[in-house]
Amino acid sequence: MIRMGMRLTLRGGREAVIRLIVTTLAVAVGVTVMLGVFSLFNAYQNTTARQCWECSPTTIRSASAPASASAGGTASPQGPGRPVGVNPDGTVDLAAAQQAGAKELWNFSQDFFQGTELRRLDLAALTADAPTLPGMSTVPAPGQYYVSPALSHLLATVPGDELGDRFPGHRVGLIPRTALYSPDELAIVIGHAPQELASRQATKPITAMSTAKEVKGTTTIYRFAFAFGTVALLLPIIIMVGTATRLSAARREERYAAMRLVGATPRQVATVASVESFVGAACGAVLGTLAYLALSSQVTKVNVTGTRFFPSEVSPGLLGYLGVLILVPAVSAFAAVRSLRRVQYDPLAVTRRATPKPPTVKRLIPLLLGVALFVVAVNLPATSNAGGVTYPSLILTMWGVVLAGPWVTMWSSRLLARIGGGAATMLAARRLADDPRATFRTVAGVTVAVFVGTAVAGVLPTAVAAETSGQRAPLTDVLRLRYDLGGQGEKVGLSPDQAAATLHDLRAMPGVSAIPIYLGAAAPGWTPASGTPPPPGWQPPPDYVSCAEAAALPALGSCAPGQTVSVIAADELFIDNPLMLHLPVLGYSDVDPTNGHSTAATVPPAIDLGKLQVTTLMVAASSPAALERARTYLDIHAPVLIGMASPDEWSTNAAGPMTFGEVASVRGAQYRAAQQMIMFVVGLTMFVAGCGIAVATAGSLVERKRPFTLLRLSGTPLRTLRRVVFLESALPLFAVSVLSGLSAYAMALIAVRSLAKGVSMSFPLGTYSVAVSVVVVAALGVILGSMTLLSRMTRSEYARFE
Amino acid sequence: MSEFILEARDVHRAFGQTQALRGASIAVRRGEILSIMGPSGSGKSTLLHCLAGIYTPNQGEVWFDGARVDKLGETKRTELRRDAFGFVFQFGQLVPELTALDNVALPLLLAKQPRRQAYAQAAPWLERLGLEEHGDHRSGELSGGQAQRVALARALVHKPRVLFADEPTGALDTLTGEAVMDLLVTAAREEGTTVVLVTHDARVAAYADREVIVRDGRAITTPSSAVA
Ligand SMILES: Nc1ncnc2c1ncn2[C@@H]1O[C@H](COP(=O)(O)OP(=O)(O)O)[C@@H](O)[C@H]1O
Ligand SMILES: [Mg+2]
Repeated sequence: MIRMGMRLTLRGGREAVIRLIVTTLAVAVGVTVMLGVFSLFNAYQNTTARQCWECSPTTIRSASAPASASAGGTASPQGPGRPVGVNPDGTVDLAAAQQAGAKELWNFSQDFFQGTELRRLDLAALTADAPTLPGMSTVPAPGQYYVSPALSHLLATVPGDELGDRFPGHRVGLIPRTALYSPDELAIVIGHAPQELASRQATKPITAMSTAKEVKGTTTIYRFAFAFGTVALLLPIIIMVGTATRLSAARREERYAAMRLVGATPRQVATVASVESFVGAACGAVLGTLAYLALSSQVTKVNVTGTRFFPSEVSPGLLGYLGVLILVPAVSAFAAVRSLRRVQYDPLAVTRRATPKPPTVKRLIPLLLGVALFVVAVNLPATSNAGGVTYPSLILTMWGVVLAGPWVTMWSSRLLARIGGGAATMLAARRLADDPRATFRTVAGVTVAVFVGTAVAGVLPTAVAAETSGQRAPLTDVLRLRYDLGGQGEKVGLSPDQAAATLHDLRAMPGVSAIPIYLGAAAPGWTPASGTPPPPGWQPPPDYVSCAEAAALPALGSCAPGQTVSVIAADELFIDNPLMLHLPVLGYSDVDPTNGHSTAATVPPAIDLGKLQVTTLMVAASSPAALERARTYLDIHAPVLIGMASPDEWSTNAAGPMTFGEVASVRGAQYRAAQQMIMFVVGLTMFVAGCGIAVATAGSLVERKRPFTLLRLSGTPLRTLRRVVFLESALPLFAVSVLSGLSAYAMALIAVRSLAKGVSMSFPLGTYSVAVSVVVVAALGVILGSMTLLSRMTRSEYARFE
Repeated sequence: MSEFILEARDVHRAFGQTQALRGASIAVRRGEILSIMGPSGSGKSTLLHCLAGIYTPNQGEVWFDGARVDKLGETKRTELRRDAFGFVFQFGQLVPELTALDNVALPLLLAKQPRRQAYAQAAPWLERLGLEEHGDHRSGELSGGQAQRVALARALVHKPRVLFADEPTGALDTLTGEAVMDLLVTAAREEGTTVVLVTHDARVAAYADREVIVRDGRAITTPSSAVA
């Protein structure tokens, strides 16, 4: 029987060959896409499993609890006292540290170059066994540094005063891959003499580097997105492969019935059927694997999470290959057998097929429920666990769209029948109304992709845009440095002398302007040094700015006429919460995030700014190069030094020499990574769904070769037949895409309206329309392409009725 | 051994609301050619399918060679069809992707005969029915008369005890139909095969030894045949 199945598959004539080719191609496309996704997922897994050497190292705690590890970023700088060997001003007492057993001095900071984050680790070995980065054998010697390949490239191409001068010493090698997340990552490890590094604030004596895995908060987002993406992608793949393996099922059923009639047992028929499916699926799996191997160098360039992966890690792995090569053919053989159940028990090919019941309005219920639930979810107070309602409502809505599809297809076909005259419209409408489920199935993948794409296009760009646009937009490229987080929590800043020198140098640079913010006198009654919480009603010291200087950045607001000094809510300059960006800062001492109000404050008379410490610097530059020159100068002469325990604290406190745009981009990186990933999935889904449509259209043609040939013989012009086929695919595609696009847009609108008050939805209409047009044109092209089959198939010399 | 090889006793069969057979009784003698006649829709095909064990009756009994057919399970009935029965229908019973020779060899292959032997046994049948030049043609490429001859060869290749023919000439012109009927009757007589021939065409029925008329789901044995 296996031989018989092979014979039917391979030597069964034109139709069998077409069927085999289409099945093979469809499975191959599915397999290629699946292998690509596996590879990226593997690479992602490897990346998240990487040792986070920049995370909190093991410091030495007080004598009562020696060498306790400060776990993954939870220890605050104000935590349970300073580690042993750290002076109150944030520098290191080298002798004390060595005596306590420190092996190394450690100072991690975050820098930026033209918007890209740069991880910088300054080290000084104290002992021969000082800890170093994974994959590196030694700590860099004083005056030497190791850089990531991407930074090495930058150092070679960018003028020193924009980047290279920030790093003392010279390059001796590259940071090994095992210590990096991405080939595009900017990182540097600099070696120092112990004495030198000890004198820098925020340095820590440590005994070991962190062996924790990456602690970035994005991991759950990625997990969710990957899971979501896999489902969103698998669905159209399954639909496509299913359509392909069931091609011209009716014709095959007749044939199997004929075999049953002459005494083939159900098992024998099942064997033949599964051999046929198996051959197609196995060819497809092999072809798909070969295609993946040919494309794999391109796959490594795919930027899923915002940064590229190392090419050598982008691989489906042995398990991935084996799974695809074994499971895909096995599953399709099994599916073929299952779909045969009806025929197995009836040796007379049943031609009188019962017309399936038309879909009812009930199919709209889950969709409506999902939208209703979503409205509830976004209106829940932010503090409650809204995710528990939001995700189910999203899934319910998506499922609802797919479920409502056949109903919409049916109604749009009825509408079509009413509007259009003509034989083509009648024929297409009749078939659509006859089995709307089957017709919808072919376009379901596109529907899901349109839904996800529209929702993402509605929500994520709005979230990202809200952080860099609006009133603060002019500040996007302004560097701001925060000096008041130094030491162990005391509000300190640059001394008046330091500030004056820094401002002088900065203002001497062409195209650079700087605005200092000054620290007022603290209210009496409490100092941070007391170690107790502040008494109720105690006000932190106010921040001041010169009205003349502030005028350089109108986005900050404006002073009253005649005013020379104003209070400024300096802390709020570091807020990137889109809900508060519209609140004024100049003339206010505080912004209350809970009620969205600013607290007005007045300036005490006769204040001399020149005698005050500078807590914050805002530096504007006329060009990216000037900006990097200013940043390089500040890195060397007035670095922001705070005792952050982990990179997470760096980004959440956003204290580094970053522009507002970079602050937003650190936050926005999560959104953008998710967006990128979802768009990636949507694109692939569209692609697979498009292939699915091609397969389904070709399949329906092969299936109806007989009636179409008859129609053509009886004088129906080919043009009419083309219109029939075209309408059959294009109508459900159009109707259901409109439905899913509209519901997704509505949900995005609801989300933006209720989650971010005062932020208007920034829907990328241009990009979206282009993307949608491309998809529609591609889908229509695919449908038209499969129609070339039509004229050849229905030529009268093939008008045989076996 | 009974005189009758095949018997239907008071067979009822319904399809949903349609009562196709309402108590049809018929008995087929060993080696005879029996024609079942009647207007279209009267239940002829349904009766044939019940006799051949394709359908099971809702009520009544079907006997083959002294054993109840309607009580057999699906697998046993399949084996019975494979080993003891042959079929020629109006059209559509060939597997279009297979060649004429493949189609003829199919019942033997299904019965797990070795390939070589199956084809060796099938080839002479093509010759016998004047199809030796068409053995390599896909059955989808044959003319109607050729296809019916292939179907006949396939129905007889495994030496069945009974040949069921349902409108075997229904899709053919008169001349071709007569040629096919000649071949069918000659071959059946040579092989000693019992034939149950369903037709609404009196000229086709004339090839039979005896005829039964089916009307409204009941079989009526005609006076002329009662004599035989
Ligand atoms: N598979 C079936 N499903 C439903 N009705 C059937 C089926 N087969 C036969 N019938 C009905 O049973 C009646 C007898 O049909 P049939 O035996 O094919 O008649 P004949 O062969 O004499 O033309 C007809 O009314 C027909 O519509
Ligand atoms: Mg009939």
